[in-house]
Amino acid sequence: MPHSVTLDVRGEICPYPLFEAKRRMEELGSGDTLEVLIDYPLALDNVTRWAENAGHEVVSVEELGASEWRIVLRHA
Amino acid sequence: MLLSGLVVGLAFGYALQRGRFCTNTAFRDVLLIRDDTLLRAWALAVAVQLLGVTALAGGGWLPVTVPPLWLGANLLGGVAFGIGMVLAGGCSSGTCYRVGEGLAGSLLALIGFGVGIVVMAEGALAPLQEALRRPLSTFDGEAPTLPGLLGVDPWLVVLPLLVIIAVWFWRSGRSSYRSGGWDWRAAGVALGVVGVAAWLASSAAGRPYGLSMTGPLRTWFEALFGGSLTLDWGSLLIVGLLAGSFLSALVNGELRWRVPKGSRLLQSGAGGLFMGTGAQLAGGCTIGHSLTGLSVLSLGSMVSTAAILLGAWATAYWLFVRPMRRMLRTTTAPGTPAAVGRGT
Repeated sequence: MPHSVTLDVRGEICPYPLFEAKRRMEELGSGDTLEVLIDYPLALDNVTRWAENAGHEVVSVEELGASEWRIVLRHA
Repeated sequence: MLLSGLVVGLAFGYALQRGRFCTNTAFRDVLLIRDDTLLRAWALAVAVQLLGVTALAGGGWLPVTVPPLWLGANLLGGVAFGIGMVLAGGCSSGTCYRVGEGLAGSLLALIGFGVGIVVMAEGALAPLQEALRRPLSTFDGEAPTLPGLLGVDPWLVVLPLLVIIAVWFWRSGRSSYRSGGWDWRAAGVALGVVGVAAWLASSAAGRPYGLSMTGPLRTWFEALFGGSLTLDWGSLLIVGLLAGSFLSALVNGELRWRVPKGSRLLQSGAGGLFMGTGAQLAGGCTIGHSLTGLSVLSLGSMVSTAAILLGAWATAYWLFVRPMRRMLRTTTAPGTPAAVGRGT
């Protein structure tokens, strides 16, 4: 049964959103999903770019409001 | 004439926000994610200024001031600034534009920066600054520059440097870096042009220097700590910078009040203190030294920039690279394919 974990990095300064996303992803296994709540545009780009490069799937990027997003990543 | 500081500041703030330009990010990402895109933007901004300032000064149209060389102060101050900017998540310019975007952590870092400046300039740490700034190294009675030291025409240093930068860009190929803002080339050229404009406007207002943050922030914070405020070109530059990044974030839908957890706020404030004391000691930060001072090939600015890099890389390694490596070792058995070739 795949896990689903939420990580809230709203308010965080760079590079913590990326750092925490990597850290949380390391704890997950194949097929698990990680939901990341982000409110900084640069962090949104950093996290999705890292996930693509690392081979994880970017399932969705949803805009929640003004400069606020929910990203769903699936562990490769 | 003073009002031109406000105008240049507005352009500076807008370009920083659109270009996502922060020397902390530029220096740190080379180590952290092995990406030199923002470092290229920085080098391009330096190159544009080198070209513009050398031509203007050579033609006798621009009086230039060269930042002094105080070896001890440049080194110690630079390292402290480098540590501080990684802790705070932004250098002086990066911190200011993020205040404009609404980051509470950056606001605290800015306050720490100002307090640090005042403590070093005239507070408890003033004796340290005085002692470390005493051995002033001069060359023919002037602050030393690389061409002065070599005894050659400035162009003989500037042109090879521009060639080296061009070869680096040419060999770099396409960058996968996206920031949702300007491309690194646009950011670099814009900041370089703003830098040259700053030299011209500021000199016309009786301040023969380009973009800088530490002196102007000192003006504001000394006034806050009981002094009187004299509005000058630099202090208006800061107002313009904050307003420019705020307006840029506002019109691009990126303005938001963002508050991190308490421990991160403390970290940002502490980082600001390190940055302020370091920048004041070294006589400048990554803007005054690593952008403007390098454009006049000041040896003091070169030493300071090297020290800032050292402090920043050591701190980024300790804060981010090392914990990530340690974690990879615990989650992945050593020697398995997954543990190999995965960066931090």
